Amino acid sequence: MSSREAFLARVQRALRTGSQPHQAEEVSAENGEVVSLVTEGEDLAARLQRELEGVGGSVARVGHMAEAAQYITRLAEEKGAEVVVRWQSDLLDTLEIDDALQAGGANVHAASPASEAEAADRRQELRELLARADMGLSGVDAVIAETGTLMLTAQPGQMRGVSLLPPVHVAVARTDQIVATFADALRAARQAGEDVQHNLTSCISFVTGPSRTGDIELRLTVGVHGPGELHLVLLDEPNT
Amino acid sequence: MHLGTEGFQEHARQALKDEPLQKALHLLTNEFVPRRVAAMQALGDPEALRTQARAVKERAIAQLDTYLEQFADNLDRLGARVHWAHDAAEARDIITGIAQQAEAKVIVKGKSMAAEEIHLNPHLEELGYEVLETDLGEYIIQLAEETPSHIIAPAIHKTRQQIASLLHEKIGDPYTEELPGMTQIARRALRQQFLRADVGITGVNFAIADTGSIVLVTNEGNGRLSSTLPRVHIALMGMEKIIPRLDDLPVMLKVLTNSATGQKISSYVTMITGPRRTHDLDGPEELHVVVMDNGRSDILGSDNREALYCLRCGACLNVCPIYQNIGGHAYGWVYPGPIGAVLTPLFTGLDTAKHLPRASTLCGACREACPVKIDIPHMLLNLRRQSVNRGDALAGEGRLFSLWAWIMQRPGRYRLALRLARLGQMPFTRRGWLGKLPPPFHNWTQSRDFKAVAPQSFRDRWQATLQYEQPGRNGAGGANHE
Repeated sequence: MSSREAFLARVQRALRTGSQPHQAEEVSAENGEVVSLVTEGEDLAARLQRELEGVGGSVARVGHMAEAAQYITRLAEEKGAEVVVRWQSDLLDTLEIDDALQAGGANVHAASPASEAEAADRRQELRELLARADMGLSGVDAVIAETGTLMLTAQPGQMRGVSLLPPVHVAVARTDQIVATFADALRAARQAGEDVQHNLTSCISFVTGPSRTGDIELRLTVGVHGPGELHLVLLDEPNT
Repeated sequence: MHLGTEGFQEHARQALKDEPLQKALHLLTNEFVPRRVAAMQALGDPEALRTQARAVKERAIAQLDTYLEQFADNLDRLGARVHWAHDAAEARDIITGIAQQAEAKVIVKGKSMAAEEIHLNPHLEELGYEVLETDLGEYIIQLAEETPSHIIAPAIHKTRQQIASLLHEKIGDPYTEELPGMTQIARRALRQQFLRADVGITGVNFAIADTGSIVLVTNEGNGRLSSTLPRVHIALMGMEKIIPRLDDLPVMLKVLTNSATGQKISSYVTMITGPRRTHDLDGPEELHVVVMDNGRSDILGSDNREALYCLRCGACLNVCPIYQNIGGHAYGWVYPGPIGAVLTPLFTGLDTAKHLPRASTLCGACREACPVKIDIPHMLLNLRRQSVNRGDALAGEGRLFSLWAWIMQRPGRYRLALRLARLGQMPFTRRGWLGKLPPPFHNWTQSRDFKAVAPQSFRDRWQATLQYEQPGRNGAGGANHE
């Protein structure tokens, strides 16, 4: 008998002999839906901003692409960013931000996928860049108003490390990417991947504010492993 | 430093005298408890949410075999490897085997209670691997060569000054007591190791059967780094971490983070579904999920099955009057507090852990705080019954309780006993309190005082005067409560 079969056989035996503890009363919402804290008709963008700022993130609301690019460039200059690594995604490509950042003195590297033959080298190169990057620039796959959470799915142009290794993470989202709850975001995630059965990508990161710890005397400190700063640029220009 | 559970009573006594520990515990109680209560209240209907969360665990555990199979089949399909570990030794061997095959030198670890449970670090270190805890609290504990004292805040028993000296001595950076400075020292030191590491080991907060995903809930980002940078990611999970469906995740996540730290959601929730795909630019090449039994099937087959619902949020620790006074180390094993008093005897046997189920006032605060409504007091009583049945009770304890039962059966005996007690207590009473009793009662007063038996019993007062007074008026009954 393989270890799997032996393992499961023990579980089955135990399930027969043990007693089921008292059951919680029948739950009406059988689909597991959680009551949302977002009220009907609430301004989702305002809620998102309030929640994210509440956990130490910053939110900049901009009216058009150029304004978003300006904001990011100014931020990069303020931080003295020399190396910026960004996702390669439609929204970020449309921002045409690379030249502006470069003009400000930063080297920008897009996480563009390589052919399979060159993938190993490309991965190594990007890893080294990310290790010394001052800023990571990403899009989002959704933003959750209820908690101020960014949903970032790992996909070929959307590296996990961009939102993780640099000390500053800047994310750009369109207001039409805002969803109310975590459950809504999961529904969106199921659409994002290429996996035929479940449509989930290899990694989905839900990011809510900067990296934080309370491990020393329970006092909040940011930037322990992940970015110490999280900036969300919220683009209110739905028809792009 | 591993205290062991046999010496619980002695450890508890030491802990009560440990001033920095007492300060830290005070902080913990004053911070975590109100935070959790406020956070749960803000959820609108916390009761309904807890019921929902419990129902998810009930479903998961009642059909654990089916869900484990589904989970494993999904992981196979995704190209991850699933390993089945019957006990701690098997789990260690499996992990060592993977590390060997990966030709690993440096291993980074995210926080994992399951890894603590199987004493993974010492084992790997003995074999020559460089193993680094990366959760800040765990890292501090590792530098100090100690063990965690709280599930969520492992280094809660250490002061900032102690930690500052530790970082200065072990890493060599200039001494600082400033939190941001201390944090940056740890960040720099650990980042180097993350980039060097060949293998990352993490725990698992939730394992989703219908997608084959594992979910890591962290605040620092070390779980993300451990599961992103090294070429090989090993996730170690107790088999009870299963939840049936992705749709169950929102409710479980909500009760977990709100109960653990009072956060609506943690800074990072990472959902990993298989190793990196062909065109992904980062993420581990190999994903190994080690599913561990290590005594859990015995719990599943007992009348304490509910213990497997535990999410390891730590809420029951923070509200427990025993934990609040003695801290985590006194419990002597990986899981402290009320849930530890249940899990430790279940995992390691009553032989060594018989004191733990007794270290409770059965006040029920743990059950009230638990996000999945685990009836911890009920299980403590189960374990006490087992313990007494196998002969763990003190000599004479049984006779005393028989005597007590005999007295309580007749009002006459009870009144007589009260009168005798009033006489008997006289030499030991100070200002209405019994501070020190002679044998065989001395154990009871060693660390607590008792209110002395009142000069007049309620029954006597009732007979004499109370029954003639009007309720609700300024009578004696009402005034007594003010």
